[in-house]
Amino acid sequence: MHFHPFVLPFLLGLIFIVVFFVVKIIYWYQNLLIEEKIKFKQSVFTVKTWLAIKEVFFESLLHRKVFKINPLLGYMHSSIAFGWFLLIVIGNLESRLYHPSDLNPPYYPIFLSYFDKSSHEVYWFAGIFKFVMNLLLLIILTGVSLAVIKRFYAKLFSMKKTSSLKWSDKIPLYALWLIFPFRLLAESVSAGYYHNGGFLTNSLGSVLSSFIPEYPFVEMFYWLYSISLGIFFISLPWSRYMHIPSEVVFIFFRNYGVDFSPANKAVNEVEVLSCSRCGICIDTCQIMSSARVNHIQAVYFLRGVREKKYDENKTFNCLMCGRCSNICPVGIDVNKYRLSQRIEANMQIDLPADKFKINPLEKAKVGYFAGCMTHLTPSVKEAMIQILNQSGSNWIFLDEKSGICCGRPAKLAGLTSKAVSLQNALKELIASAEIQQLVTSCPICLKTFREDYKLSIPVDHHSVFINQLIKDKKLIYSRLNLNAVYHDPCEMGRGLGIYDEPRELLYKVIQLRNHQYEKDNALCCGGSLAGFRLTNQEKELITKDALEKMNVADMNILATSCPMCKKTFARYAGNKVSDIAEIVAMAMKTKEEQKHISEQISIKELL
Amino acid sequence: MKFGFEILKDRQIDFDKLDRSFSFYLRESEPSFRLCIFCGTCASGCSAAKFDNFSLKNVFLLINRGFTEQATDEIKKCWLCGKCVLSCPRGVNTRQLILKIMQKTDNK
Repeated sequence: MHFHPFVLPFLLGLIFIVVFFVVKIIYWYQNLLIEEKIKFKQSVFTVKTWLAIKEVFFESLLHRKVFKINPLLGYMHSSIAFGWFLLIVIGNLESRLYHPSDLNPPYYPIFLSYFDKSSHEVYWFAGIFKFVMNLLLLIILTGVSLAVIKRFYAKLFSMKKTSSLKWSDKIPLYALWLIFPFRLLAESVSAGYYHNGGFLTNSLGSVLSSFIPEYPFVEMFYWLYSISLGIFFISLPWSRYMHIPSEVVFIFFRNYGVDFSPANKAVNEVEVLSCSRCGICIDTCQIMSSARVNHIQAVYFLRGVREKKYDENKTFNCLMCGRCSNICPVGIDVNKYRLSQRIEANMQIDLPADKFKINPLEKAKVGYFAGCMTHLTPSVKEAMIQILNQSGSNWIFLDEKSGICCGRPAKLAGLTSKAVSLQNALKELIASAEIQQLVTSCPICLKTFREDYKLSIPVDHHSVFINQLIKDKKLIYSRLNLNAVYHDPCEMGRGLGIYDEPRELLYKVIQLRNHQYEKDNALCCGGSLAGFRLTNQEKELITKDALEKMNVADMNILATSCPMCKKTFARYAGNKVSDIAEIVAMAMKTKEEQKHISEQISIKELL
Repeated sequence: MKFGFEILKDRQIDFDKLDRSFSFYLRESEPSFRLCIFCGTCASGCSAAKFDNFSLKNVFLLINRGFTEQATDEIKKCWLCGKCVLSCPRGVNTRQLILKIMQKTDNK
């Protein structure tokens, strides 16, 4: 039996973390809903388990998504995570060579170079093990040194800012930084005296042993190595490193179809704990990159959720554009946590149902719902009326005179019951027209129609609807000789995944240019109804920055499909900002009228 | 003693009763409240006003004049649709103010 007191800090830390984590997993599993437990049990022996293992390998160990976002950052993460994983696995295999027993104590492979002082080679390939272990240690050390550099010079990683830490994160962070240098020193010094190292530890050891005496330094370095491991393990549950075990559970739960809806707080904990605070969401947040407001980003917000600390600014100062969730390597849905905190922050006020006197509408096939924002951009509404009339559809204007709000703005404010009262009133209005298809001009309405209304009829945005009209050859138009870029509205793009139809439509009527910030990398215009606390100056910065990034200045038209974005951009854009419907209406005009419009636009450009 | 005229009770302004602390609180927490000139653009485009006798301008006036209770009662009619933010010519962040007024209702 190999034993030395220096293994105790490591052993205690390991026992603590294993017990802690097993208890946590049981707690999480117990809190699953009954259907989810059934789903869980049914999925365990299916291909889903393999998919989960594959995802754990690629994301938790190799950090493939981080590589895609930032290769240097990806190397840093994967060298530590995957390198350490291999070090454990190969170290275990290696220890079997020297002590071929199934019941090795868990510390034996960790401190193998101390316990096995003989330099004899058991098998011919023992040297290969030594080489590989040294190489892995070297790789991890490069990763650790990159991590140290990143902490102080984030700019070298082309990150504008890295996440700022609390003391509960700093203790395991410093422990993690020290683990591998101490391991290197411990193994090198012992290799210097016992000649049992590889290419790295032997050469460093022979240098070190020339001026460091064997006693007490060999044991001292092993003590330091063991203590730093122990500190890391014991402080892990209260730090961001809790993401290491949580993320694995999160990936398995997700693959088994567990619903992480905010109602189940115990299960949500898995998702919240999976945040590694890597800080990738900080740079992508426009409130940071354009408006220079720090400390409200997803990283910091989720830390508040985890510590159960409510912060008004973090909760309400967010545009809910979804760029952070989109880029998050773990795939955490941040918006739903913001929403649930907003709901908790407000007392719910109902709207009395009798307030809405709904006059039943005439029956029609297609119902057109403009939405509040479209009523503020009447040109979009007029273009839609023109298109609907010319297409010969049997249609009705649902909110021509007295429009009811769809309820999403109230929902985004956290006023759920108000939103529900509005939803019920609007549902009644929609039902009275007995329509077979609902078309809306506003992506905000579209999102809530699809997600909350549970209508039995198809709901489409007008860009999808017009695209279908053109496919059915119901509209006569001619191509415009103008160039444009398309801006994806957040609610329609990342929110609902409608990317192709608007582009397909625009390709038909105008020369559409691609740009870097499109599809799921689209920028927010800054006018989002989810944003409450940005000042006008900050909003202006976001809007102007977005316009600049999209290279709008070289274009005739900035095309969008959201009246809100149109209104926000039109304030600062030098050129024309048009909704898709307007562009199609323009294309439907005669050649002479089109020429006139083109001239007007180009004159405006010259001015 | 009567001089042939008297001060009518309801024409009196009792400054002892005037409590504008909520107005000052709003100005501090959302500085754009100071920009409001009570032009009424917010009320003219309001969707909720078509179903209800609601005017955001009036709510702001009530708060400025210290009628906090009436204002917090009135604000319940708002839908938070955000048309007023877009139409406000002065750039008042109305939705944030409405939320603040609604939260005042909660605290009572």
